[in-house]
Order: sequence, then C-alpha cells, then structure tokens
Amino acid sequence: MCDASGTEGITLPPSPQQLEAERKLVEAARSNPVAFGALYERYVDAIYSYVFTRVGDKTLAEDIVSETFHRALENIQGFEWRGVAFSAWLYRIASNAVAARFRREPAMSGEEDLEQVLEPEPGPESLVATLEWKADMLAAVRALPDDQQQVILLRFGQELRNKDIARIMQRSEGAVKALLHRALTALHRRLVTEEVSPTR
Amino acid sequence: MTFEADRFDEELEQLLEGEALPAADQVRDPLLRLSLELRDQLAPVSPDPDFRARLKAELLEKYADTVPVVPVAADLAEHTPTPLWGRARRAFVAVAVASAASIGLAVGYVGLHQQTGNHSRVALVSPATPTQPTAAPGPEVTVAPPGSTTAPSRVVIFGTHITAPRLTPHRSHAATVTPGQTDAATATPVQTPRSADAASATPRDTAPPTKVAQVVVPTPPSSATPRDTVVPTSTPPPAGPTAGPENTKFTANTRVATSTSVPATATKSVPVPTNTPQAADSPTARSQPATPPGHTATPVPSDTPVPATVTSVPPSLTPRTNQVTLPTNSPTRVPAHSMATSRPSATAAKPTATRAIATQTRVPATATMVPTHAAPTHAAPTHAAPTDTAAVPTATNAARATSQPSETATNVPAAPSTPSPSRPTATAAATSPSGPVVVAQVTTTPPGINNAAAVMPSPSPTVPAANQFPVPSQLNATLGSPLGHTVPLTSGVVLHLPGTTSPADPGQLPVYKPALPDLSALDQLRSYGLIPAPKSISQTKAGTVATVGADNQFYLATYQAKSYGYRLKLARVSPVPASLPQAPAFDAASNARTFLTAHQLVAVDDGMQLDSVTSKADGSKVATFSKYAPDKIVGARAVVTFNSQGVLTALDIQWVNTAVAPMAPGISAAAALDSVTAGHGLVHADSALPDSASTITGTTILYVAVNAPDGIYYEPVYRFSGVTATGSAFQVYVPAIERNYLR
Repeated sequence: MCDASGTEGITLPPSPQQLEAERKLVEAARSNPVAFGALYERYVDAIYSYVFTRVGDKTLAEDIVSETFHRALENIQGFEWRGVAFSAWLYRIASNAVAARFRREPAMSGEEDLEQVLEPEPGPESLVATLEWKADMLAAVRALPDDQQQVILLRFGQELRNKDIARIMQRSEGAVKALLHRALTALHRRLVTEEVSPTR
Repeated sequence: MTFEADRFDEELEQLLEGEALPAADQVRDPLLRLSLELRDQLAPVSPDPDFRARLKAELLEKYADTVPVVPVAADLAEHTPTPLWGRARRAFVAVAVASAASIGLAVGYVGLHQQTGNHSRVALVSPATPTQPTAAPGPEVTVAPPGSTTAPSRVVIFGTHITAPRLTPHRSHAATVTPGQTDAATATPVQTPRSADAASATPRDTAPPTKVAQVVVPTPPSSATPRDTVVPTSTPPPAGPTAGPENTKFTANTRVATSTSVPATATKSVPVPTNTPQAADSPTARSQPATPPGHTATPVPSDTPVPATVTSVPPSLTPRTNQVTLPTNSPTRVPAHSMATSRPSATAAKPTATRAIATQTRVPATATMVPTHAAPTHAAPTHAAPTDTAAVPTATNAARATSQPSETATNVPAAPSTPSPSRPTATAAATSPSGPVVVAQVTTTPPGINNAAAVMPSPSPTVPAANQFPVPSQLNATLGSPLGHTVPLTSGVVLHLPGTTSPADPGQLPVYKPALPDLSALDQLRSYGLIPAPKSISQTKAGTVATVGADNQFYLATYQAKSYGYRLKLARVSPVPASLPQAPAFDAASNARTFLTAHQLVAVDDGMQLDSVTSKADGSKVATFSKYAPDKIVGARAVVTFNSQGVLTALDIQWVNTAVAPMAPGISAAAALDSVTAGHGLVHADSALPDSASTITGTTILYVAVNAPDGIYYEPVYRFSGVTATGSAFQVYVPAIERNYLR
C-alpha cells in the first residue's frame, strides 16, 4: 500500500523509527501543508477502504472519508502525539463519522452497491455462489452492532493487530479480543444458522 | 468467555502468522474458517482517483484557512532537541549581551544626564549635521544613544568592548556586536530590499509612523551577511526632502526591533531610546553605521568581524513597506513581493500564504475542468466526459441502438431512428448547458461497416500495460463479470472454429462509456412518472428513498444514479389482500415491458430483451430482461414481479447508459482465436483447461464492465464456448477490439 508519492504505506505495528518519522510528519503538518498532504497520501486509501467496507456505498464512503480528513485538518493543532500511529486517530474519526451518519440515516439492511458487485453473467454455479457469498457476508457484517463491525473490519479488512485496534477503539486489548470473538460468533450464527448463504 | 476469547485469539494469531495460510475449507474451527474468509473477502478497496485528487486539493485549499501558517523554519517545527551545551551557550550569550546592553544604557543615561545638565542648551539648538558614517568593523558593541556628542565611554564586559558615546540629539545610532557574543544560529539576516514595493519607497511616503512588526527568522550560520538591522518601534517625524536613497534601503527593512516570536533576536538587540528627534538628512545606511562627529568607533581586531548595526528608524517608514522575511529553507515560504500589506507582518503572512497554497492546489482542479474541443463536424454537445475520454472523438451509439432518443441522435440523418421520448438521463446529458462541452464525432454508419471517420484515433502507444487486456483482468474487470474468475490462457493453445461457421467480422464496435445523469434523484424520479410524496423522502446509503405513486399504486422507491447508469427498486407499499380472487391469466412479460417503457425507465428499442418469465407457487410471476446493444451487456437487467392479480409488486432495474459510445476497430473471431494461440485470453473451465484438441461450439460477443481510471467502460469481448476432448466445458474470453483500444 504505497502511495503515489512513494511514501511508505501503513505497516502496523509500526517500528519506533516509523513512529518517529510519523511524529515529525505530524508536527510538520501543523504548519506545513505539504506535510499534511503527505499524511493524506499515506492514509487515504486505508481509510477509504475501511469506510467503504462499512457503509457499502461509494458515494457515502466518499462523503465520510472527506468528512474524516476535514475534521482531522481542523483539529490537527490539537492532536497530541502519544506514541500511537496517526492512523489510529483517523480511524477513530472515521468510525465516529460512520456512526453519526447512520444515526441520522438508518441503514437499509442488506443493500449492496451493485456497482461493486454487478450481477454476474449466468454461468458457472460456483461463480454465482461465490459472489452471493461475498455479498451475504458483507451484508451480515454490516448488520452487526457498530463496535462489532468495527473490530471485524479493522482486524480482517485493515489487518491491524489487537493492540492497534485497542488504541483506535479506546479499549483494552483484552476487551478487543473478547469483542472480536463475540463479533465472529454473531457473524457465524447469522451466516450459518440463519442460512443466509446458500452454500453453507 | 475471556478464556475462550484468549484461546481463540492465540489460535488466530498462529494461523495468520503462519508462513502459508491454509485454505479456509481446511480449517475445522468454524470461527477460524470464518476469519480466513473474512480476510480474503474484505480486500482493500481503493478510492476513485478523481475523488482522491479532488479531496486532496480541497484539503490543501482549506489548509490555509484552518491552520495558522506561521513562518517557522522546518527544523524548528520538528522540535529537534537542542543539545545541552547549545542551550548553555545561548544562555551565556544572552546574559552577556543583555548585561552589556544594560551597562551601555546606564553609561549612556549618565552621559545624557551630564549632557542635559551641562550642555543642554547647546544640544538643543545644534543644527543638524549629516553624519559621516564610519565603519565599525571591530568586535565591539557601540551604543550610541541620541544626543551623544562627546567621546564615548568604553567599557569591557565579558571581553566585549563597549563604546558608549556621548549623546547627541539628532544622530543615528549604531552598535556593533561581536559575533562571538551572539549565537550565530540565531543571527538575524541582513534585510536586503527585494520587493519592488520596498524598493520604490521614497521619502515622499509621509504616512504617520506606525508601529510595525516583522518576523525575522534566522538564517543558517553560514550566511554570508549576518548583520542585523534593528529599528525602534516608534518612529520620529517624517523625513525632510533631503532624505537620500538610504531611506530606500531602510524601507525594505522596516520591522520590529525585538520580535517576541523569535526570542533569539533579542539577544542581539540593543535598547535604543525611542521618539528620538531625527534630523531630516540623518538616516544612515545600516551598512554604514554612523558615529557622532568626531567619534570613530575604535576598531578592535577580530578574526570574524560581523558588525550588527542598530539605527533609528528613518522617517520614510510606512506600513506598506512592511516586509516579512521568511527563511529560504522552507518550502512553505511565500515570496517577499506578495507580503506587502498594511497589517503587521506577523499576521500578514497568513493571507499571503493562503494565496500561495490556493494557487498551488487549484492547479489540478483547473486542469480537469478544461473543456476539450473536438471535431467541428457535429454541433450537438454531448455530456461532459472525463478529459481522457474527451480527447478521443466519440460517436453516439445511434448507429447501433438506432432509436436512442437524444439530441445527438437527431443529428444523425441516416439513422433510422424513430423519434421517441428519450430517457431522461440521455437527454440531460446531451443538453447540459453548464459543463464543459465535448463535441462528439458521430457516425451514421451501421455497425459492421468500416467508417474511417468514426474510428477513434489510435491512442498513445504508451498505453499502460496495466490497462491492457488481459494482464490485469482480475483487477480491472468488475467483480461479477465473466472475466472475474478466469485465468490467463496458456500460450500455444490452438483453438479452431468449426468448419465454415466463422462469425462475420464485426467491423467497428462501440465501447460504452456511461455517464451520470445531471438531474437530481427526485427530478429523475419525477421524470419517470414516479411522483414522490413530499414528506416521505430520505437519503440513505442505498440512495434516495421515497414513497412514490404510479399507476394508482404506491411504492417505496429507492433510486441511485450510478456510474453505469441508474439503479431503481420499487416495492409496493400495501400488499394486495390474499382474499382477492385470482386474476385472469396475464402476460407478465408484456405488462412489464409496458410499464418500463411507459415510465421511460427504458427507451423504446433500448435493447431490452426478455430472458425469462418464471411463475411462483403463490401465483406471482417474475419477468427478467437483459439489455443488448446489440450484444448483451453484462449486468444490465430488469426484474419485474407481479402478484397473482397482475399488480406490479416489485421492480429491480439496473440499467446501463449506452448513450455515449466511442467506436473502436473490432477484430474478427478468427483473429481473436489467433490471439488465444499467442497466449492472450482468459479461460474459465470447470475441470480441464482447453487444449489443441478442444472444440469451439459457440461464439458470442458480450459487453463487460471494466473499471478504467476515468470510470466504468463497457468493452466487447468474444466468448468462445467449447468442450475439451474429455467433454469438459470451458469458455474463453478474448477482447473483440484491438488491444490498443482497451481500457
């Protein structure tokens, strides 16, 4: 996940050197738009991916990503470096934005952006089943409670460690483990027990 | 629960950290298996490049309005820890200079007291005498308060020779500071007049003296001219007419003597009395420190004499000559010429920086808005297209979808189209008055006939490999397309068309480039004859949701404009009571077609073809249509459901807008098979891959969605269906247009 400017992408957990470099970048971003641009380039893909997977709609995801970075820009002067990756702060802003958006606009369950998953050409059954399985899985994830969605997407979509997720969600690492287990159990129940998926 | 969660987490870590992840179906634990599937399915999704660039431009433009841009050098901004010895050295130097300045002031005050006591009358009536500037090259602090007329007193503080001259009321005052006593890293650079504004300042500038501020940022120690010019914060009365060009030099350096934002500057500041009466001709060039008549600064040998002068403010200072000196080592600095402002320069930096940033960040937006002009052969503007596409002369698909009702179509004289209401999306696109106009080149030649004028010009030979078929098909092909789960065909496989049934050469083939409609969602619904109830409208992530009325029924409508066209769902709000008698037999396909065309959800002859009508146990019927233009467009379909009484209860349509269709040269099926032999093409096979003994049993052209950088395209591909020698079915997909035209 390298950006166009060649800056190093997100690799978590970051090494102390990476954290130090990021700290300098964040400090510089308070007075230097070029540095803020570098932060944007570094994290926009990951934040978009996270948001899109949560909301499943391109337009809405773009709105929320835009809101996330605008908020980050407005508050960067108050950002306090505590040795945690800057992305954790961005993920938190994005999560709050998603939650706030859905409080205003209740989600329609089971909807899927078919721009991303167009109906397949009637063909091999396995192909159709795979696509349906993916759509069902995403729909089931999005039907989970907010914190469970968040932990699943951060753990498997963004491939973050429990420690980093704990910082983002402002919980203990143990709480994140328990939450992840609960979320997977609920998701499995939803997918298998309720037979959402035709193949399972 | 906690123990279970910990155990699961350990197992998950082991699983994910393993060198090779097992397949999901090889893992027994259902939660672990689900975890692996989630990891596979939740692949990263990249944002639209346009959105990415646009948001960045927005943010950078907003940056200057949100973040106070302070001219702090990059090295300071990074808060690099200062070494202990460096801080001690600075402290020592600060104390030394402050002490020297204080003693100098005290001595000067004593001298002034004596002067006013003994010679005050003489001093007051003394005519103004131009000062002959004398260089003070030595490592010496010379404090020359106003009124000094006698030989200066000399003291030595911490090894620094300080000359405290007698006071004279109308002389410039100079002080030289030995560089050894100051922190070289914080030395204030010489302010050289750079801006035209400053250079043009003349003694005619008679604006009242204004307290001005200047942020002085230190230059590196290696600066060749580490001199200071420090001026009092309050200026004397306006200069007389004889003020010379020295004033010009001063005007470029108008600033506050001791800027608190740069504390280091204070270490070199020598307090100078303010409100000093100033002779009209007395302003002295800072490079030529003046001394009172008869007094010459005593040169003190030094290896590195770096004089810093303290002079009074020349009378020509006006706010408009303020100058902010910014460090040259920061990329965010603003050119000096843009700094002229009547406000204190510390705050003047922000709006100037804003302009600089805005200029920088607006560049990409401007670039994308440049309209592209096209061939003058067609007067009808088509909808704004991305610049990449707009550069290519386009043609409407009127040749193929002959009744495509649009303004463009009316300009096709040879097209045998039947005038009919256009789909609103097409109309809006064609008549949009606001966007950049792209004039399309239109072909009137039916498909299959070569038309040189309609052929897209050959794109740049440097088409990125990633945009060419079939290498990135798994990336570029939209999920769900026939290319989504195929593998590149092994080269050397020779496939043959059976006998003489080779399909005709397709000639020119359209490549569809859908465009978003210009109408808002509600207007779009109204244009479909679906009238929204006023208080039922909401925006959700699924699109615009509203209760609409149509054909004496109420439906919950969900509409979304899509990059491929539009998506609309209707669900009847009130179910028909089950007790109603069964309606007589009705034609679901015909009713569906009538509904879709009556509401202009599809245009007449829009390539809608019936796929199937299925009946359910409860008596309802489902009619499914696909779109052909004239070859099937994968993903474009309409599913209409009627209940047993023949009432439309549900509609789900996702329709591809084929109004814009650049033409590309197609290749024959035989040529496509040849490219298979060369290793091109993708194959999907249930078991064995095709080989030279395989047989092709059918050839079809399909349109599949391809995610190009500038949006979705629908490109034609051949689908060769066949069976291997062992009877296993397969399909081979090969592009049906020349490779250079692939997105």
